Amino acid sequence: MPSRPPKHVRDGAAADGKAAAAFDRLYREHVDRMYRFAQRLCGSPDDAKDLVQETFLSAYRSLKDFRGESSVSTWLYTIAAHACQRMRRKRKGEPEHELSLDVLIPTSDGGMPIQIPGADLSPEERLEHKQLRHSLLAAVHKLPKKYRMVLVLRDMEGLSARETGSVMGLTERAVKSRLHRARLFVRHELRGQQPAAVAED
Amino acid sequence: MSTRRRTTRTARHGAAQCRKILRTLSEYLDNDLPKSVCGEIRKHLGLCPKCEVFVRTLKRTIALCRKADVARLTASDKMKLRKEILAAASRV
Repeated sequence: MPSRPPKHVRDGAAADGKAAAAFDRLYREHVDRMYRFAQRLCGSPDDAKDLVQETFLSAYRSLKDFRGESSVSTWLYTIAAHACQRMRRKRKGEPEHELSLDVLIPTSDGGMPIQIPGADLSPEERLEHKQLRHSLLAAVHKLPKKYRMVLVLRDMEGLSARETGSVMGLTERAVKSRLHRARLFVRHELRGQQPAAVAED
Repeated sequence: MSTRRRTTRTARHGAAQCRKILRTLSEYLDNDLPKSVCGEIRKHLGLCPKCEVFVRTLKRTIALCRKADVARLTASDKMKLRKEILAAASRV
């Protein structure tokens, strides 16, 4: 009959079992949310899967350090935001640039846009409008990273300005400033994307 | 209000006032501004059709963002990812 493993080995196995159970629960409860966030940030399903993998791998390693000072989802968003930055650095994408309000806010009557996306459609009908949805996601993806992250967290994931600031290490003031520029940019990109039938005269 | 009177009052607001308003629209839409400022903005919007359209388009843009959904992971993708994560975790 094999001898029983020593106590420290048994304790270690029990701790591993607890960690695995905790991770399984974390993964089960949050993987859908994190994949949705990753897709909105990355734009492609494959990149989103890579980001989800990076995020949960980091979460697995630091699960024991989580003190509950923020909600679990905010903690995961923070991990994902850092993972996203690491992945971008590796790929050496396009350099960041600032969005100027002077460019996004019209200076004369001629520059004042007059169209409204889906003006006479219900929200549900607009969502079914494939072209408009595609244009929206393309516009979001065209945003410089630091603006995209704010817009996705605030307007797509529904975090508050304070939570977004916590995830990105920014003040609420900075979050609001970036968010306004990001919204104006997306709005600007969507001009003319909608069918003429719904454009305002 | 007659068209002529409305045009005159709109013009009196001027481009500078429009630009000032447009710079604060997100905070206005998010209810982050003091009531007095919101009142001023509402007053301006009532007199300035171009700014009013700008607000409506921005509002719709935000609404689109809030409703825009993306594809979900399939059950098999979730299982595969979990397996890969645990395998990567055990390598270190």
